[in-house]
Amino acid sequence: MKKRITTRDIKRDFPIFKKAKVKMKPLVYLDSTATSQKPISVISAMTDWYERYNANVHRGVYELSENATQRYETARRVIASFIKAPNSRQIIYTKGTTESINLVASAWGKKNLHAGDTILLTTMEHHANLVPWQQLAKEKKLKLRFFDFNQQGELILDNLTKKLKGVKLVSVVYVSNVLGTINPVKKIINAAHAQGIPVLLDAAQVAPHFSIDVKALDCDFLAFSGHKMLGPTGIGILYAKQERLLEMGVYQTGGDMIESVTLHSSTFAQYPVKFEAGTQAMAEVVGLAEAINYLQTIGMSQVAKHDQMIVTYAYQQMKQISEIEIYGPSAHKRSGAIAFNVKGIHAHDLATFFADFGICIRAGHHCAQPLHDKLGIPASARVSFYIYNNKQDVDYFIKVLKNIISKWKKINSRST
Amino acid sequence: MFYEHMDLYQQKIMDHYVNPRNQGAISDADKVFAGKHISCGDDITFQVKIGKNKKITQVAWQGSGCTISQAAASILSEMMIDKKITDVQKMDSQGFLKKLEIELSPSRQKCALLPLYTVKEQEMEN
Repeated sequence: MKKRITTRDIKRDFPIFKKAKVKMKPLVYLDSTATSQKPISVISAMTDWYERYNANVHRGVYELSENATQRYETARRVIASFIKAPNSRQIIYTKGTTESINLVASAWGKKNLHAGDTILLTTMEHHANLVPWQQLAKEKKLKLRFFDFNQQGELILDNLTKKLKGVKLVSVVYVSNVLGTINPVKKIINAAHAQGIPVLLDAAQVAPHFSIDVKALDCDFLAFSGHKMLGPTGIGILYAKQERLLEMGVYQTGGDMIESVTLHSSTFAQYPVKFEAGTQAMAEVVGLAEAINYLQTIGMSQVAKHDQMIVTYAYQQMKQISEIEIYGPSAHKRSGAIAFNVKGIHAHDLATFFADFGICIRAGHHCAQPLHDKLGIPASARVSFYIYNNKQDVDYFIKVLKNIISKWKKINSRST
Repeated sequence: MFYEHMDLYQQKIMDHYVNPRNQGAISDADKVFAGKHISCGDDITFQVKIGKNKKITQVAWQGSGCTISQAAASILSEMMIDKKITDVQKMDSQGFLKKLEIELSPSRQKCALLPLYTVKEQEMEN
């Protein structure tokens, strides 16, 4: 039976709203872009693993290990089907989006990019999709080029053919964790593929909110994190096209990813295990599969609808407050997060004031320093929403925001 | 609603933020200290004049950033007068934080300590 995203039902599934060890209750959590809260079913699935299944996978012939292996590989199929990957072998377990991208840079980049090649990124990237490429560029004498964005926080995609000249890899964020912009990735992929250039998508802020179809997107690589989509920390996914997987060298080496080992040399396993050295985060894998199940009981189209509804609701109310500057596009072109500043109040002060009211927002550069340099600001405040947030959360946030602004004005008018 | 009665920050911090002491510049400063908090975008510069027996006779500061860092700069500037630089540099972090008369979370403590660490000419540990 499909679960409806009604305000009260969903929050009840998340123990932290009742149990959080905080002074101010209710907990109004508006920082899901940083990490999401977990439903009891995900927490239970992991406990269940340790209580009833735990054994090393692919190992033993005893029943416990066989069951464990089955549970673990079923999870891989669940994840594959979640993003419509053709084959579950194309799902590689990593620690998160950051490691997924590092894996591509290391195992694919080192082998397939050569001195003088260009990697094309954007100026709105999270550091996870920027720093690994900087390091690779230094090591292999590559060039970095960037799509810039306009006043509305949208990528400037003029002269695409020219922009792609000499490019051997395009790596772009699908939805910005600061601007909230939903980038036209299909357009970028089409243009890149027309010139035989592979594309990596940072889908960390997409997997929680929208259904992903890697076949329809035709992306070469796709990365996302479990902990941003109701799953546990310590688990992320790299999806790659088969052709790309066959082009990849090794990443981390050691146990499990080998075929045969002698004292002086080894041969390696096939993908995905080739890229999964050592014992993986088995309980976390199972937790992620349960997170996907949970989301699917709601239905990803409902999840997406809710995202649109609540972001629009918050955006429209914030737009009416003259002291607020919002960064990024209009409501219907964005998802998840709204970064903003209040005139005269430093973002960190704002977040502290909100914290006193039990409202959790983030302040800083949100792992996107170049983006903030481009915006010309040292920091921004950011609210972000997920399925457990409702209109009441937004109403309270707006009420407190107006209260903070009026108090601030009063205090500052007292200056001598 | 309950929140209408809550203060934003305690008195001393807000007072020093709204009415900063010793803000400005000294054209013939004997020593300048400059510090920055890259992640927050806070920055502070102190300029001092030193008199006989190495004591600070004049201090002026400039900066930008969050309330806590700027107010702390103002509070520190008052404490610096008539002290040797080395004495200011020996000041203990906890002792300084107490002078701010505000309860701060660990992450905000870093903002508050920026002025002190600027004079100490030291990086703050993470």
